Amino acid sequence: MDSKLARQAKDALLAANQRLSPEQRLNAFLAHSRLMVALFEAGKRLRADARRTDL
Amino acid sequence: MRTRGPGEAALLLLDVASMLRSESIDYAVIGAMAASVHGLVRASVDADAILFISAAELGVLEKKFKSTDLQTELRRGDPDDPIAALLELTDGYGNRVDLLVGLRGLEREALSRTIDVPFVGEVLRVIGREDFIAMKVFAGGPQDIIDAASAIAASGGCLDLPLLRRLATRFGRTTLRALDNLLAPPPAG
Repeated sequence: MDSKLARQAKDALLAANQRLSPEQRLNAFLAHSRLMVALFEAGKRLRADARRTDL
Repeated sequence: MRTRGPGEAALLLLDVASMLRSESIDYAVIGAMAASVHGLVRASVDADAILFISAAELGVLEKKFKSTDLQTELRRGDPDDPIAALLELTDGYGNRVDLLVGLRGLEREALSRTIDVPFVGEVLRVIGREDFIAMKVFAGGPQDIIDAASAIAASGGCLDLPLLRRLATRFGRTTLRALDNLLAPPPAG
């Protein structure tokens, strides 16, 4: 499926990335990875709490 | 150790790179960190680097890492595996660095094309763009192809195409064909 909107969004993301230096990209990778893991762990805690509530 | 919590594989890689330097072992950062440098920034729970040493030497290296706080696991590929061996290093927060050796098709000269990227007061050697794209096309998974396509798009037409095609050829005809598909302009309309 080809979506003009999706393509424009991707182009905008690429353009935003290109404004970053390689060093800034690695810093963004670190920040992004920390956030993704925090989000994943929060989801795990939420699911565990929900299971306890079900009991 | 630089890591202070989960999601910090990039910082763990800095510690690993220091150890590699002290052992005079050349490396090149690959995987999601290289994808972030050459294409689109994305997250990952691990960091990867390729080493140009033998699987036996990787075994010796594992013993050195065992003496640190890191957990280690050395895996060897089957004879037909495109990766000869992989050393997995994990810290107490679950951050992981994978060190790969013997990637079939990747030439040692890739080391001369790495780029130095400053990061948290240190410098990391990141695989060059053409080597990265060829490797990702060879790997061939959905995320690999997205990474390769993003690196091509982010290059702004500044790719060394003869080099890229030569590198892809080293990985085999299937890789070269897949690369040509990625490089082909999208159909008009």
